[in-house]
Amino acid sequence: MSNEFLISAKNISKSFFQGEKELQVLKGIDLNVQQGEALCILGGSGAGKSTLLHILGTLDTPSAGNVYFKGENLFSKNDEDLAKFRNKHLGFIFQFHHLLSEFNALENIMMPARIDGVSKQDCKARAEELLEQMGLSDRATHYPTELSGGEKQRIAIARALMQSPDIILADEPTGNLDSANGRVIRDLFLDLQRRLNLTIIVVTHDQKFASSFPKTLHMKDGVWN
Amino acid sequence: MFYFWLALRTMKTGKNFSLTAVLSIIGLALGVACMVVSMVVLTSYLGTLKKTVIDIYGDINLVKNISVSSDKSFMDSISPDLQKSIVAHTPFLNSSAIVVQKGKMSAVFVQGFDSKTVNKVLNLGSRLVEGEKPFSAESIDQEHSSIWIGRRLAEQFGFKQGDTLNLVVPIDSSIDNFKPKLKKFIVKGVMSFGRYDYDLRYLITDVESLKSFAELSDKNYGYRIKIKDSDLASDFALKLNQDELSGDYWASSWRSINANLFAAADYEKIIIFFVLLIIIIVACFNVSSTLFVNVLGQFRDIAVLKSMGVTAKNIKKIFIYQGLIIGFMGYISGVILGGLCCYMFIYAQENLNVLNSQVYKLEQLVITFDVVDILAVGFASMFICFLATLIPAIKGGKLTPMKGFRYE
Repeated sequence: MSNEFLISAKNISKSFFQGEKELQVLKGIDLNVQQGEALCILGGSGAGKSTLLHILGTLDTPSAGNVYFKGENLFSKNDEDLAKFRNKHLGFIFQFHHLLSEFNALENIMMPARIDGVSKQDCKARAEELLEQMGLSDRATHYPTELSGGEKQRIAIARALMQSPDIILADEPTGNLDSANGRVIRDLFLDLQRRLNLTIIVVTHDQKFASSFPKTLHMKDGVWN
Repeated sequence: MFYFWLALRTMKTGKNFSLTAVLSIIGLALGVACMVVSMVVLTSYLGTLKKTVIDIYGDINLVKNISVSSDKSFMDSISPDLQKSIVAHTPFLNSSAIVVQKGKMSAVFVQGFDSKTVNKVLNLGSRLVEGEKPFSAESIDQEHSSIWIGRRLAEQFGFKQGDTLNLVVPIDSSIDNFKPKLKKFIVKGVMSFGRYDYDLRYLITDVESLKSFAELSDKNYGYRIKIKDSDLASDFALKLNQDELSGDYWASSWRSINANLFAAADYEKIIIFFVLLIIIIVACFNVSSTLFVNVLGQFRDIAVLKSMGVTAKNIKKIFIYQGLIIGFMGYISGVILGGLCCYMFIYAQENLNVLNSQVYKLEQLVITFDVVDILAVGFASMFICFLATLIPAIKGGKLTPMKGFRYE
C-alpha cells in the first residue's frame, strides 16, 4: 500500500444483524485523504457516514476491508497499539461533545495527555493555551453542566487538539448547536486546518456547513453518491 | 496512580460518592464489624483466660510423684539449656479443706506458697480486691497465720479483712484413719482470681503455715515456674516430661490446665472467621452490583475514554480500583464500627452484668485488639472484594467504543 496518503480506506463494508436480517450499512467504500486536507462527508440520516468515520477512527471494525495510516494496516494492530494510535494521532469530536461530567473543563482538555502518561504539571500549560485559543480561559474550572452547548463543543475541540494529532475526526460537530454557534465551530475548524495544516474529516448532514469545505463527498445508502 | 485517581473521581457524583457506592460501603462495613467484634471477643476470651491461669498457676506447674521419696530438687535434674529459659520458680503445697463458720461450711482448696519467691513467679498482687497484698512483708503475721480468700467465698460467708476464718483439714491418723484438725486463720485480703470456680474454692496462705497445719512434708512440694516465653510453655513441659524429670515430677503448662477450653476456643475462632466471612461475601455481591451499575451508567464515558486511547486493560483496572476503594472504605468503617461495639461492650461489662461468670468461667473479659486478627479480616475482605470486581471489570473492558456511543 502506497503511503502517499495520510489515511486510506480500502473496500470498507459494514453489516449489522437484526435477528437474522442483515443490514448492510457500508458497501465497499474506498477513501484516500492527504495530509492537510479538509474533507467533509455529506449525507442524510442512515447513509453510513458516521459508521465510516468510526471505522476510520478505529472505534469500530469493518466487516470487510482495511484502513491504512501512512501505509500501515490499522486493524492488524492489537488493542494496546490501537489505543496508543488513537491517543497520539487522532482527535475525536462528537455531536454531543461527550465531555466527562465528573471533570472540569481544564481536566477534560488534559485527559488525552494524562492517558499518555504526562503529569498534570507538564500538560497544564498546553491545556490552558488551548483553552485561551478557544476563548474560554475563564471557564477552566467549570464543569460541563455549567457550560453552554457551544462552550462544551469548543472544550471538546480543545481536548481533541491536546495531543497535536495528525487527524481530527468530527461527527456532526454542529448537529446539536444553533446556527450562530454552528458558524463559530465551522470557522474554527477551517482556521485550525489553515493554521496547523491539520487533516480534518467531518461528517454532517448540513449542506450549508459542508459548502465551506474545499472538498465534499456525498454518501447515500452506504456508497459514494 | 492516574487510573486510581480516575477511578476515584468517576465514582463520585459531585463531591460525594454515589448512593449505590455508599450502600455497598455500609453493607461491607457491617460485615467487617461483625467479624472484628467476633475476633476481638474470642481473642480477648483466650487472652483473659491465659492471664488468669498464668497469674495463679505460673507458666509451668510441677507436681511431685508421691511414690518418689528423693529430696533432689527438680532444678538439679534439668539441663543447663532448659534452666536458661527459667526466669523464676517457687515451691507450693496443696491441701483440700473445709471452711466452717457460723453453722455454714464449704469445701475448699488451700494453696501454700513460699512468701519469699512467690511474687517472682505468680502475679497474685494484681488479683487483690480488698486488703493487703499477698505475701508482702507487712501482711505476714507471725502469731496468726494469714490467709487470702476468693471474693465469692467472702460473699458467701460475709468475710472481710481482719476476720477470723476456721479451716478444717483431715489428718491421717493411725488409730481411726482420719481425724479433723481445726485452725484459725486471719483473712488478710479478698482476691479476684478471675474465674468463678477459683473465687469460690481457692484460698492461699504461706507454705509453712499450711505445712504445719495439714501436717505435710517437704516431699509434697510442687513448683510453679515462670519461663521467658509463656507461649512456649507447652513445648517446655513436654521436654521436661520426656527428657529431663525421669518420672520424679510431672510438668503441665498453663494451657494444659484448661486444655479443652483453649482448644475449643481456638477452633471456634477459626470456624467463626469463615462463617462470618459469608457476610462479607454477601456484602461483596453488593459491591459487584454497584460496579455493574457503574459500568452500565458509564457506557458513554468508557467509550469516550477508549476513543482517547485508554486500553481495555486500563478500563478493567479502573473498575477493579473502584471495587477496592469501596472494599477499603467498607473495611475501615467496619473496623471503626467494630471497635466502637467493643468499647460499648467494655462499658456494658463495667456497668451491667453482661457476662455470666458461671457460664463463661471468667469474671471479666479484658478486651484485646490483635493486629493480626484485624489484618486477617482486612486481607480476606479485600480479596473477596477484588474477586467481586472481576466480572464487572471484564464487562467494562470488553465494551467497544461504538457500543458505548450507541447505548446512549
